[in-house]
Amino acid sequence: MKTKVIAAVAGFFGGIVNGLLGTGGGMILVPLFRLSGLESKLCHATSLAVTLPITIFSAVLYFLRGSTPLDGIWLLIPLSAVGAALGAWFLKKIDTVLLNRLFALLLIVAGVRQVFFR
Amino acid sequence: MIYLFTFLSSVLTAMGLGGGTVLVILLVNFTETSQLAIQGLNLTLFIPVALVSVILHFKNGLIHKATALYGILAGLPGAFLGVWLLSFLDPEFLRVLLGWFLLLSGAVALFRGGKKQPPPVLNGEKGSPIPIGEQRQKKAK
Repeated sequence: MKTKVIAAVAGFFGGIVNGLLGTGGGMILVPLFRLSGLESKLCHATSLAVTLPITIFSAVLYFLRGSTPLDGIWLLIPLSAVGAALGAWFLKKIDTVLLNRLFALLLIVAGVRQVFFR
Repeated sequence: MIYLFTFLSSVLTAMGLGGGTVLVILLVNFTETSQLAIQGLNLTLFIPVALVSVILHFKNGLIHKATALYGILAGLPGAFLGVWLLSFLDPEFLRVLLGWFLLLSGAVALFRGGKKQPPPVLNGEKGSPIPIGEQRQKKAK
């Protein structure tokens, strides 16, 4: 029962973030799923499984309210597929620990810039 | 620029580095694209990559179905509420809110030290989330 309640709460707030900010919501889902007692190795995959239908729903709502530009979007989708294939190839060749730290720093710098300097 | 940034972010997504977030950062800071357009693009481009990942995770038995079901059922009204709130919020406020979200995400990621994630455990391997009885049945076949 506790697991189901926490899963629902996580999904609800993850959904709000997804719709409001246009991001996945995994930042909220993964820690709450861990709190519900879900095994660590299942948390990320389950979070993605929750995020996908919510994202589809949000994306449709954004289209309906005219917020998403349609120009060139059909080129962007195969372009991202090619990029994903290249990324999967790179993943085997790069030190991902260092990359994760650089990514974390990028987030902090971007966040500071957006909050304090715009 | 949008095409270049989309390509770069999809490379990073495949490396597990939150490429969607990088796309948002690049578009917000280096283009004149509106905040809501950036968010809509990010959501749309997330779908194909996430779809492939979810199918693979499902085949490997890494998705806890009950948790996912309750998460989705509550998440859909949450998403509706989030999109509804957009009508009342200034895009500049959204930009700052997103900025705080990025700051928090970065701080959490740095605190966790960028630990290498173990590869996902596949069906039938030792430590697989599939119950022992089902593993033995698979091995017997």
